[in-house]
Amino acid sequence: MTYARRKAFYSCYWILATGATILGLPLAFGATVPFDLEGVKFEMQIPDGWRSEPNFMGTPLMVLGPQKFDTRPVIIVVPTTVEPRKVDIKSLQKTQREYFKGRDAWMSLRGASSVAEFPYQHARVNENLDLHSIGHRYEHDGQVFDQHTHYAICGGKFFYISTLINETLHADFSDSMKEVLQSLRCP
Amino acid sequence: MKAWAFLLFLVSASHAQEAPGGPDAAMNAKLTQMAEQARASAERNEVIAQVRSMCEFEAKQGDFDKGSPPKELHGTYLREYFGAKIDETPVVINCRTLYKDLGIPVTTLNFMPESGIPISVREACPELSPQCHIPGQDPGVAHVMAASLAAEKAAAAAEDQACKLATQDEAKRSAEDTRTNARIAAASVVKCAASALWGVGINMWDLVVGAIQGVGAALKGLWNWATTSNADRAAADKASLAAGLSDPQVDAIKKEGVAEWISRSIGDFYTMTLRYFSKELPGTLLSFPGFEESFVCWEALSNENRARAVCGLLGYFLGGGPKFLALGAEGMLKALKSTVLTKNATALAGKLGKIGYGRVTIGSVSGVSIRYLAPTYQHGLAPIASGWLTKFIMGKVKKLPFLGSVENGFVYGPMSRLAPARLKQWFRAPVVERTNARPAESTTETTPPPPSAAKPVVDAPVAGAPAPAVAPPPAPAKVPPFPGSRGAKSQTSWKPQRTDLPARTAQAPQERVAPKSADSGPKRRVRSAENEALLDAAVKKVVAEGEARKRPQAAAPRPRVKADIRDLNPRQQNISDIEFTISDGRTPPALGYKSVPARPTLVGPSDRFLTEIAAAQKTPTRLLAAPPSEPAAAVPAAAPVAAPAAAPRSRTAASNATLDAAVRKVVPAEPAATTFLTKEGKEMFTLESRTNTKGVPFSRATYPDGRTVEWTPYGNGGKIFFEQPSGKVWMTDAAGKTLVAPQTAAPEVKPPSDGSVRPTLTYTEAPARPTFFGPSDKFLTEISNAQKAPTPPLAAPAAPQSRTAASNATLDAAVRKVVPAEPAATTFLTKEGKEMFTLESRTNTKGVPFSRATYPDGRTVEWTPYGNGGKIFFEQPSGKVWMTDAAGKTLVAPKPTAPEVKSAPPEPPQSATPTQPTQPTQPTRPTGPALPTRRNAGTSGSLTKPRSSTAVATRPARKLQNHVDEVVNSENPFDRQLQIKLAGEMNLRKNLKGAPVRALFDEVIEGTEFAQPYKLLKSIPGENTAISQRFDRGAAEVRAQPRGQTPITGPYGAANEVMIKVKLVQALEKPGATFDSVVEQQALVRGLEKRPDLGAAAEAQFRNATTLQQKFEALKPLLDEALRP
Repeated sequence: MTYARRKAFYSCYWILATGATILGLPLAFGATVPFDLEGVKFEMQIPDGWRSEPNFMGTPLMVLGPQKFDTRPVIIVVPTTVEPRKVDIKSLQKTQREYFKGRDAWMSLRGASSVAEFPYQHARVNENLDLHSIGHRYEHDGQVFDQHTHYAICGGKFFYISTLINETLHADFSDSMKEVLQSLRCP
Repeated sequence: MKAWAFLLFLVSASHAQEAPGGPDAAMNAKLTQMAEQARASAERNEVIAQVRSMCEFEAKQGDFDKGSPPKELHGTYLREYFGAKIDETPVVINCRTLYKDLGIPVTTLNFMPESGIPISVREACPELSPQCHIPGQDPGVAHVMAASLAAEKAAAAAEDQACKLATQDEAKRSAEDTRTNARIAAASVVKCAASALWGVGINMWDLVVGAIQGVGAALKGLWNWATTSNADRAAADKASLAAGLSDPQVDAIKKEGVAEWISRSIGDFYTMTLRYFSKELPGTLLSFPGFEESFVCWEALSNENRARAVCGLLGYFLGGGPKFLALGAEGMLKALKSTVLTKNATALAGKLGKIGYGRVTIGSVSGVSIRYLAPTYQHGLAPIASGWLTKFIMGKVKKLPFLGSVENGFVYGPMSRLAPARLKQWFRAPVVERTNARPAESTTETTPPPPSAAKPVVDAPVAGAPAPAVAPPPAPAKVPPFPGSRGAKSQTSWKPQRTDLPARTAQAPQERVAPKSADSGPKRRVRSAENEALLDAAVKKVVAEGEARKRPQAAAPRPRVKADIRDLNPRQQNISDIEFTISDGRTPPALGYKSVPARPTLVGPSDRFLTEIAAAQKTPTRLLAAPPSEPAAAVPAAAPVAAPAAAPRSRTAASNATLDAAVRKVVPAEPAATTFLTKEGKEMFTLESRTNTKGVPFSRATYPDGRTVEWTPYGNGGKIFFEQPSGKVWMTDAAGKTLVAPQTAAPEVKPPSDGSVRPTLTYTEAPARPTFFGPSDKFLTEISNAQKAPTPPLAAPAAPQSRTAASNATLDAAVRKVVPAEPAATTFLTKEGKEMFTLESRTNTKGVPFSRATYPDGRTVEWTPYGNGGKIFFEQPSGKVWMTDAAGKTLVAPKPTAPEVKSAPPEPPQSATPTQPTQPTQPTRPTGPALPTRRNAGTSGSLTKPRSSTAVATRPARKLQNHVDEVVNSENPFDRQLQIKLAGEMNLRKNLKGAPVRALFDEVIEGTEFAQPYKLLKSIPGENTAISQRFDRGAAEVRAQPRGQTPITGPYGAANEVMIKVKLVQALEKPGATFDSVVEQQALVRGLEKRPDLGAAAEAQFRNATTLQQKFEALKPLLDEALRP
């Protein structure tokens, strides 16, 4: 692709994106895929080049990013039947040390080592979606990964979501991963 | 790197297109030769395994030392692999030469170099020539070994060469095939796991969601980050694996399912898994050469063991780590041990070689057992979780698919090297097949068949499979299980085959069928008609004797037979027909001899106790008033009053009470009356269990003088009430002191009706006392000491001394260590026969099982025997909860102050006439245990406010109870119930260290099959101290243990080490235990691994040992070596 063609492509893209925003349309970075897993209905935006694999490798839903550098981002979505009121929101801040303890134990088992900790965060994406997140960064076999655990409360449903991304893919897929998470809709 | 390899591949491919002829013929010939050598290398292990199996079998049989003749290894078998190159004649293997003469101890047969070739052979044949001959050795040995070495070397060279020529397509394929051979290491195992996933239909989602919903929500209530710790772990593992998948791999998995994909693309998965878990597995699973030969005979596994195997492997791949893998391996081994060996143990052993994660090993097989070394996984929650997982899987298992086949006694798995056809079926174009099919001079390139060609055919037998070389060993003769043994399904299935006993049923002789086969159990004799007649006569005689017993004894005339009492055989049946004479010539009163019926099993007192009763019966009795004088006419006026010696003696109420108190300590085991005799054969009393009109069970003792005493043996809240035939109640405490006396004078003095001493009747020997079932001597001693704890006198000097709350707490803590085995109440006595406490298992109104101990003073203590998470809670009848930790320190006390010191009621005057009686009172429960309060110095810990409800205490207790029960009571969970229970308990009582851990260990082991060996172990001089020291050291270890380190030391390590010793004692205790059988203990094998030089000395010392202690001492060096860090 020549420079001129690439410039024209980006111009068209931004024009379309701006127009869509003005018109109130969601920025389409992929397809909206509905899921009905074990009676829990929800939908997510799956970016182009990403693939959603229900019941894949023993997980209810695995969203896989494009492969690059022999690795790819992974999102595991586990819809549950747990009522959101069962989640002790107030204690999430206090119990984050428990999370890191568990991660330490896991890393010890896997021969990994901790690089960084991402403390608890709460993000209200919209009125129907709350994300409670916590995570850590670890090094394993010479590679560095970011793993996050999210409690997603979406329209009266509770989701357990785990994300994993190699740090080499941050520049390419971090935003997309975030968008996938925030695109969770529960009709 | 992959990109470069791919580019190189493209380059080479394009080059091949440009030059159709490919590499030159010389190169192809070289490659073909290398491939052939690789094939030989791959098959070498089979031969080695065959030789090893045979020789090890021979060694196990003890033929080694006898200098057994050389064994002939199946010629066809060898020729298939080496025949054309080596020999057409059968290869003769002399195991003795092969192993023993080469300086390898018999006991280390399993620990030969992995190549299977003794080092000395290598040294003797440096040239690796088939013609190499070791002086003094059988040429065949050299042939086999040299060929193997040659093949090994050639294979290594081929691999090296192939790697160097990786850019060449053919060489690349060869290298891939070589690598495929290496992948076999994990193939069978992963195949099992994958197929199990497939066959069982396990959805890992269940596990993930289960981890979230089940465990988290249930235990934690509201959710937080700690709740989903397990889910985080599983998700991290899954995501990590998925992150390494390429799109084609994802497609394949998606299309075929993870199980099928793993099966087909085992190499990819293996590589990926190896990389991922590489930190865990250095030098263990995947680098363990024996793994290549391991395949689990899936069909031979029971569903339970399949579940075990799947559980472990699944757990491993889910991120459980080697612990789970070990569990799976152990499940397989157990299955093999129990099932496969009955088919063809020796052949299978040769096939299996070694299976190993770390210390899990299948070694030699003697036809009846497979040796394996259990891994050190028994700590932590892993076994508990695996137990749950097993149960879960068991619920799913219907019929798992069989992936291999059993032919001629051999087990062929999908990866079996003996079944290349099957290899082809299961895997992509194995090199063995392809290289054989291609002429050496061919220059055309071959390409592997598409993956679809590798569709497995699971049940088709392998054509042309070689026949087994070694005949299967004879099946071990079945031995009828002894009642109570582990092998016995029920005690009713085994009956003593005594035909000289009268039969109770009139079964027709023809209905008695002999066993179908000779090995199905002991033969039963078929009675003839003549025997039946004799039997009938015997029965009639017994009945007649019984009837005669019911008649007045004096009215039973019997023929007399002169006999000296010293010649009496107490076992003589017709004792009543013997007239006894005493050595001094006197003849006992001829009043008839009461035949004593067979004694029921007496659970309770010791001989010492009977002595106490006998002594109580002999207590001095007060002389009654002189008997009425004879008519004056008959008595001379000057005659003095009858001498005291002539006056009839009678018992006082006091002596009666003492006697009653002693008698009451006897808990009759049977409702039927039991007559207790002194050692001299004198009747002491007859004891029976009855139920009164109010439905209250009670015991009744009838003394020879006709006096009866009745009481409730189960404590009745600490009160003993005697319900006399008149219906009046007379109540005493356990010490015999009267609490409530009947209004009317009790007939405490009851002179014999005829004014004479009741004649002594039967002379018989008291039967052997039964084994007392209950806590160990240690417990008894501890409890007894606690009961003897000094108690401060109360204010009033005259008042009886009572126990303080402090001493009570100490006592309670000691008693709580006893876990009652039966719901029925059990009364524990001191060695002196004194009642210590009565223990019973109950369930409270909330469904929580608990134990209750009732002390003789009426105080009760209740607790859950399983710890309640380290807390002990006493739930009083009032519903109030009193909680302590395991050491007895109060954590939660009830609000109202419980009666701290319960003083006994004033002692009534002990006289022939009772004091003013009070109103008869119904038996009542005690007001509650004496609870420690804040004022109880030395016993109270961190006092907190009492819980107002039992819910808080009972809920975790119930959950814990259910959890432990589920694991412990599940059907043979990994045959490690004890360890699992101990691990669970120790996990729950995290603060236990040192002595408390030993106490817990004692508690857990009690009532198990290891209780007796444990007792024996402690009886060995020095071992009891060593056990304590080990637990103390464990406490120090756990303090020094870095955070996050796998707890292989500490209390777990201490418990494990003690268990190792216990199991060794158990093995030593087995009838016919030999050095070879005992040395299979995992610890000893480990010790031999470390110090093979100790084996011979230990064996020699063992053979000279005669006692258990000596044998233990003989093996101790090995044991110490094994236990040394």
